[in-house]
Amino acid sequence: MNIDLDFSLMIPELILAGAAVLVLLLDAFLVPPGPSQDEGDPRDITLAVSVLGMAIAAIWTITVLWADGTSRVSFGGLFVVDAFALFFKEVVLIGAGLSLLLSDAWLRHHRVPSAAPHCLMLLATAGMLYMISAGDLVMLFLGLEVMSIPIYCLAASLRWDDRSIEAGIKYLVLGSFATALMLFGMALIYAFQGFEGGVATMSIAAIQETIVLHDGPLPGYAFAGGLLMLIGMLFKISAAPFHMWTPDVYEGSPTPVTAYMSVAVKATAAAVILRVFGGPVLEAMGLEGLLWGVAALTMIVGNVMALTQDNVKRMLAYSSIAHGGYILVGVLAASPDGQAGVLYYTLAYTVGNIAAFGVLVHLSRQGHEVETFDQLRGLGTRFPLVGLVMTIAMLSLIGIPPFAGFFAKFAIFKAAIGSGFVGLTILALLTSAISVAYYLRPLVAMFMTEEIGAPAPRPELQPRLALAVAIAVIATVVLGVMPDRYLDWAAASVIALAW
Amino acid sequence: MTLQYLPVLLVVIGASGFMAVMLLLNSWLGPKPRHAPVMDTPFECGSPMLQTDNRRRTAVKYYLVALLFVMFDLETVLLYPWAVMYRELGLFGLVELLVFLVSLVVGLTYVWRKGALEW
Amino acid sequence: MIPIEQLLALAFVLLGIGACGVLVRRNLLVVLMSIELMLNATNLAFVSIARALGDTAGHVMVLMIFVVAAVEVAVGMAIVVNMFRQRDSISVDSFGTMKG
Repeated sequence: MNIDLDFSLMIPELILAGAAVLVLLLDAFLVPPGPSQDEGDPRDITLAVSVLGMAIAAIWTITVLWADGTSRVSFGGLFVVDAFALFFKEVVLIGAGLSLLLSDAWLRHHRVPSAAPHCLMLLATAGMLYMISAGDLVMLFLGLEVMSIPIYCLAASLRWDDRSIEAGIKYLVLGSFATALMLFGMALIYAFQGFEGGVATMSIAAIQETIVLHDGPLPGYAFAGGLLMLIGMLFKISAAPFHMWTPDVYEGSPTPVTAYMSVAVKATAAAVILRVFGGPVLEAMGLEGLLWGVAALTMIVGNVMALTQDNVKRMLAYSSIAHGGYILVGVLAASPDGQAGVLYYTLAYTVGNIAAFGVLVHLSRQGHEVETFDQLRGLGTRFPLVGLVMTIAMLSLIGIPPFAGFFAKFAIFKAAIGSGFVGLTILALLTSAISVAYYLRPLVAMFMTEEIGAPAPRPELQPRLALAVAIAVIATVVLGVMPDRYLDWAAASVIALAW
Repeated sequence: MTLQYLPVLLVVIGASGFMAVMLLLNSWLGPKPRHAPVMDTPFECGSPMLQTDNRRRTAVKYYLVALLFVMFDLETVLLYPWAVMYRELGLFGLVELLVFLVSLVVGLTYVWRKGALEW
Repeated sequence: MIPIEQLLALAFVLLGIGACGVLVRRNLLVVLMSIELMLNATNLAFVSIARALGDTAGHVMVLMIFVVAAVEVAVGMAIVVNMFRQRDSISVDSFGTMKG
C-alpha cells in the first residue's frame, strides 16, 4: 500500500470532528434532562468547546495552511488543499462560528433541552469543509451528506413547533431527492470517464480533463450526467427553478439555523460549483446556456417574490435566492475576475446576512418570535443601536457603498461584462434596483412607523449574540471601506483554480 | 433463440384473451342490478358488518431501537473493505478501524445516556 | 454477461419510478421509501458501471451510499414519527401552514 496520507492538511476538519465528539460526550454526561437553567448551565461548556473548535480551525486554516501557500493533494487525490479551498473554508467557518454564537440566545429562549444543536453544527461544518476540499466524487458525496443530514435535524429541532417539523421534512425529502439525482449524474459521468477517458476514476480533475479534451459534443449520457450533477448543486444553492423549498424551510427553521443555512450552505455550494464546473468545463459540457437561463430566472424570481412578503425571514429567504443568482453570474463569467468576485461575494453576503438575522434573534424572546414587518414597527426609534445594525445589514445587502455588498456586486458585474455577458449584467442591475424596495421595508417599519399596541419590553442583551453581531457589522464596514486587501486575497485564491 | 420462447407468448396471449372474453360476456349477458349502498360494504358471510373501521394503532415502542439497530448494523458494512485488505493495511488499518469504532461507541454512549434504549 | 446498456436502462427506470413516487405519493413513509428506491437505482448503476470498467471506485461509492441512505432514512423516520405525535397525520396534505 503506497498512498500518501498527509493528516496535517486535514487538521481543521479533524478539530471540528473531535469537538463534535467531545460535545456529544459532554451532552451525554453533563446536561440533565429538562429545560435549561439560566445559571451554571453545562451548555455553556459545550458552547465554549464548539466556538473554540471553530475558532482554532479558522485560525489554523489562515495561519498554517494559508501561509504555506502551495496547492497540495493528498489521500490518493481525495483531498485537495489549495488557496481556493482555504478561502471558502474561512468563509464557512466565519459564518458557522457566528451562527453558533447566535444559536446560544435561541437555545435559551426556547429552553431546548439538549446541547445537540452545537454538535450538529460542528458536524455539518466539518462536512462543508470536506466538500470544499473534495478532489473526488466520492469525497464530494460524503461531504455533501455529512453537511446535509445534520442540517435536516437542525431544521426540525423545535420538536413541538409545527412549522419547524414541516421545514425539516420538506428539506429532507427534497434534499434527498436532489442528492439521488446528483448521484445518478455522478454514475453517468463515471461511466463517461471510464469509457472515453481511458482511466476509470472518479477524480474531478481527471474527469474535467477528459471532458475538455473530448472532440465534438459529449455523448447523450454524459450530458445527462453533467446536467443531473449541476441540478443537485443548484438545489443546494437554491437557484430557481429549484428554489421551491427555500422560503418554507427558511421560515420554519429556528432563526439561527436559517442564518447558518443561508450563509454556510450557499458558500459551500458556490465553492463546489466553481470547482466542478468552473473554467472551460461548463462550456465544454454544453451547459452554459442553461446556467445563463437559471441565473436570469433566479435573479428575477428571488427579487420579485421578495417584494410581496410580510415575513422578514421569508423576505430574507427570497433575497438569498436572488443573491444565489448573482453568484451564478460570477460563475458564468468563468474568468479569474469572476471567480474572485464570487469568493468576495460569499464573504460579504455572509457577514451582512448574519447581522440581519442577529437582529431578529435579539428582538425575539420566549413565546414571541419577531418575524413580521409589523412586529418591527417603531423598534428602530426606540432602540437606535438595533436600528443601526439593521440599516448597515440592509444597505450592504442592497449593495450601497461604503458597505461590503457594493464591492461584491461591482466585482461580479465587472467580470461579467468583461466576459461578454452584457445582457445578463443589465438584468442583474435592474433586479438590484428592485431589491432596494424590499430591503428598505424593514427600515421604514423600524424608523418611520409607530408601534402597534403595548410597547415591547426592552430585549435583554445577550453578550454572545452581541459579540457575533458586532463582528459581523465591523466586518461589513471594513470589507466596504478597505476592500482592496480582501479582493487581492480572493484574486490570489482563484489562481489555484487556473486550468 | 427467441423462437424457443414462442409457446410462452402463445400461452400468455391465449390466457389473457380467454379472460377478456369471459369478462366481456359476463357484462354483456349477465343481469344488471341497480346500485345499492350495501354493495359498497365488505362482504361478511351475509351478516351485517361487525367492525366498521379495522384500522387500529399498534404501539411501536421499539421503533427507536429498530432505527438505531439499522444504523449501527449498516455501519458494519464499512468493516468489509478493511477485512479484505487486512494484511496489506497492517497496523495503520487497525488504528484507523479503532478510531472508527470508538466514534461509533461514542454514539452508542450518547444514545444510552439519553435513555433511547429503554422501552 | 448482461450488457451495460440494459443495466443502466433498468437503473434509469427504477430512478424514474422512485422520482414519481416522491412527487406523487401523499404518505410520507411511502415518500421515504421512494427515495430509498432512487438511491438503490443509483447503486445498481454504480455497480454495473464499475463491473463493466473493472474498477473498484464504483464499489466503494456503493458502500458509502448504503450507509448514508440508512442514516438519511433514520433521520427521516425520526422526524416523521415526531410529526405524527404532533399532528396525528403523516400525509403531505397536512402541510401548508406557510404560504407565499
